[in-house]
Amino acid sequence: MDATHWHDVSDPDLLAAVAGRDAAAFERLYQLYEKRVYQYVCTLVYDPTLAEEVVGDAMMAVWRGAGSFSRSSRVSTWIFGIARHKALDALRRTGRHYHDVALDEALELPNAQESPAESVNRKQVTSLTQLALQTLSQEHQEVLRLVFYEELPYEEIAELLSIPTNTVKTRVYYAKQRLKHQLRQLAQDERV
Amino acid sequence: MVEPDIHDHPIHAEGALLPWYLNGTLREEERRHVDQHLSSCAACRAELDELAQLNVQLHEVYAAQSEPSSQIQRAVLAQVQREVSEKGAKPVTGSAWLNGLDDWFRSLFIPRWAPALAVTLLVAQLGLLLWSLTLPALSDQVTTRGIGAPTVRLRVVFQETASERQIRVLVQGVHGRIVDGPALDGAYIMEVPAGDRIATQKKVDALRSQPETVRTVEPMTP
Repeated sequence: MDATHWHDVSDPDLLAAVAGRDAAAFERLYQLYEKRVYQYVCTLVYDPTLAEEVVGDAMMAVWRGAGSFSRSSRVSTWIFGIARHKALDALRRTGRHYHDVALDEALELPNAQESPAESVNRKQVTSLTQLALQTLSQEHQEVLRLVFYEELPYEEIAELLSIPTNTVKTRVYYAKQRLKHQLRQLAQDERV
Repeated sequence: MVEPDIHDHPIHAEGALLPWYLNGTLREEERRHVDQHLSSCAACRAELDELAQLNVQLHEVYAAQSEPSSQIQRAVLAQVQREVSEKGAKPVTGSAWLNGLDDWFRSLFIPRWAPALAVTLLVAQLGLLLWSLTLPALSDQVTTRGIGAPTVRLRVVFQETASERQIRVLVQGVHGRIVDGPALDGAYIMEVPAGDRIATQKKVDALRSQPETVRTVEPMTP
């Protein structure tokens, strides 16, 4: 039975098959999550080589520990949780740090009247957004990805990051404010 | 990191839920509450529009981000195949520490130095074989173990239907033991403590009194 057999299977059922030592089910799960886990880990370690190493460790931990998945959260939250632990371990091992958000930089007030995206074309907006994202702290990049790309509920983000749900809401709010500010700044620089 | 609480900031509590309103993960009750609030709050509607626009931009950025090399996938899937081959396809359940313990025990039987050990044993066996060829030939005489005290031997044929347990009980009952057999005719040689001729005959009679186990018993001449 190859990985294509598992194409229409839900993530929890896929993980249950992995717990039963089904290598084809694991291959399918790997295909579904490799890129997402890698990009998430990149927001934490900022090093593509180290990120690949973390992805390998994390996915092997998924293979070996699939039986411990309790179905109390999404499979994605569980996998990202493993990847996050592996990433933080790797940062500790290599003597690097996971940077905190500078509070004073996060206290930008919203300005709903301005939309920096209006003055530049779509490609430029993507490029600017990429640049703006890179100026954010790791924690802000992390929550933005978890909310907007991984589409996780705030309760599961709180569980994943081991922080209260209110802190999740606050962090996302300030991350979005900071990103908006940076986009506006970059758009102005482009015009100049 | 300490960030100000969302309640300290001049946005509505419902506004703080907008990212999850947008990604569709709010509980039904929360979603209805935010719906109601949006119908009467222009600021939060504007915030939602802004988030929706940002959402599109972020998706484009994330989708365009780099992927890991194919080497990592090959390495992980190869490792998984190795583990399946080593452990078989049986389900692995239980806690992680049990799996870890299992891995540790298995590693004792699959040591990295196993090939070297196997070669060493082969060389040792070959050496032992060559050494044994240099020893003088052993006597062809076949001896049986004695039981210390003087003994007498009986030639016993057991019934084909006799169980191993029945035979064991019978042998123990006469304080004997099987020292040879079976011969071509199915006979065993049983050694029993030697007393006088009457004592030996009693043991023979005791054995013959168990026809369901013993077919024939004959004392062997020395």
